[in-house]
Amino acid sequence: MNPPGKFGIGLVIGVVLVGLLSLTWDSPTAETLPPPVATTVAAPTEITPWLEPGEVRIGSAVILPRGLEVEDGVAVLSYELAGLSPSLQEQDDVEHQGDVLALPENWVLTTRSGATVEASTSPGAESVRFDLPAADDQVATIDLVGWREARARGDRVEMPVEVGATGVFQSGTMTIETVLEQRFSTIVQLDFDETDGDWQFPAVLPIDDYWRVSGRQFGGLQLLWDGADAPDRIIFEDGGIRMGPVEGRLRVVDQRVES
Amino acid sequence: MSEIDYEELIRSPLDGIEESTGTGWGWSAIGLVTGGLVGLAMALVFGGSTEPVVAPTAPPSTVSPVVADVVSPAYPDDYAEIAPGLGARIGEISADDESITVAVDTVVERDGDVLAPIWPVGGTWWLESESGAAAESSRVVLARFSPGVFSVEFPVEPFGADREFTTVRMAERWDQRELAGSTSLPFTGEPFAAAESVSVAVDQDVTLILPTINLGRFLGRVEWKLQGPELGGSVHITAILLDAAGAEIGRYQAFPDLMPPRTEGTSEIFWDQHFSIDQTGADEVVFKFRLRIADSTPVAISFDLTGGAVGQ
Repeated sequence: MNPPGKFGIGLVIGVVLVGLLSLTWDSPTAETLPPPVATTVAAPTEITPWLEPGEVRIGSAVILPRGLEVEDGVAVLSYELAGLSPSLQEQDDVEHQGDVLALPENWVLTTRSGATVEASTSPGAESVRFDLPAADDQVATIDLVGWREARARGDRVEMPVEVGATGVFQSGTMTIETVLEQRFSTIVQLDFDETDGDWQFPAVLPIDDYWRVSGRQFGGLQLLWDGADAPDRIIFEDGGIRMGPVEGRLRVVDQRVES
Repeated sequence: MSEIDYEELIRSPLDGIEESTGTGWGWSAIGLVTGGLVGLAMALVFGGSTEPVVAPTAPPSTVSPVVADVVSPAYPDDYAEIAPGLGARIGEISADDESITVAVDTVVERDGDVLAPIWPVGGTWWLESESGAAAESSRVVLARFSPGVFSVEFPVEPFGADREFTTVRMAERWDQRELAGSTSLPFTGEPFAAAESVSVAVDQDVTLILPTINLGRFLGRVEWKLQGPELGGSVHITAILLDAAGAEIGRYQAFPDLMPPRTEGTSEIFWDQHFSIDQTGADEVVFKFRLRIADSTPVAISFDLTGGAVGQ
């Protein structure tokens, strides 16, 4: 074979060999880097608070502070209450539209000089008043240290339908004052003497709702049975609630000056 | 004619040139190297890259802005879900000679509807104590005007003097299924009494029967019975007086309250206009019913009672 032929053969073989070899590498001049470490940054978990700043929860109700006035040695904290519980009726004005089933009761105010003043509120109150030790005292903190939470009652008492019969409930005593048996109906009049009035809301009613209820329910009750077949005994149930005491410490106002 | 020298015609000009005195394969080697260089040049042009190459075994690093995961709890910390959309917390546990009472209060989930009837109207609970005693509930007590609280009563006997309770469990929940319906009757003036019983098929398995209907000046009474649902339910009735053109003159409605599920009852309804009871022109009364049927749902919801000493 002449030299050109031998050269040509070598040329072809050289190209083919390099071509085959190139399939096994990326590039003879590329720099291959090691795989990077995965740098996934964990996202922080931000928990949305249940309440707005300043709101204080007691059980299933919320205290919404509305203002603090301090004048001439008297501090008055105004607030509203709102509920988180289910309700049978639509509420009007506040943000949390559920039933209010917890109420504040005992408060402690601490002045900037370190003195403490106690105060109490009853159901239905919308402010708490503190008489400060000195006319120029300033408020550092106000804490709620006791409140009441609703509990369903449910106690049942059976009474004979006769004048003078009594039934004792946790919320009070029921007494039959009058029984009027008429031709086609029976009327029963009862008195209810409540105990521990402030923190309970009784609803003592017959279980059998064929007894028509009329008259005032708190302090007096009148029942009417249509027909001549009125039963000789009535079972009453207290479907109301009582507010049971709870102790704790919740910061409602904090006006301490940072040093 | 002369003979053509074909050999001369096809002779190469290189023929006769003496070959080198070497082996002759040096040209092959040169060709081989040259081919290799050509092939290499082609590989560089048509494949490969001079950019650094990252091994394809790991994802690229993340440097995009990090967005916080926002978690919005459905209930306050001390409440746990006992029904869809409703959280509950165990409150006071009290006992007397006859029963042990566990108080429960509830909250609606964040952004939930406080008027939706999601509260349970009964069910079965279990109370367990440290000594291993346990008792099934004897009654679930509803508050008549406050659906947010209820109590569960247990018998005292299984526990004796033991008041160190460890767990209270809900094993069955009575949910409320809402149905609605209506029927109408000619209104003949008050006092109005339906001439006969009225039966309304509210659903394929629920029939509402009204044995008696009486509408007076201020008050109305409607007796009702539920056929079909085993646990019963509650019935809320509104009676609307319409004139001949279909315009509303007034209505009787019930005061909202909460009663345990029953299969029969009596609904008292009140005329809604406090100072006017003029029903002139009314010739039709439409009765609208809102039924809440109790349905039993097996559940397994447990509350751990720590510090189980009971106050009496």
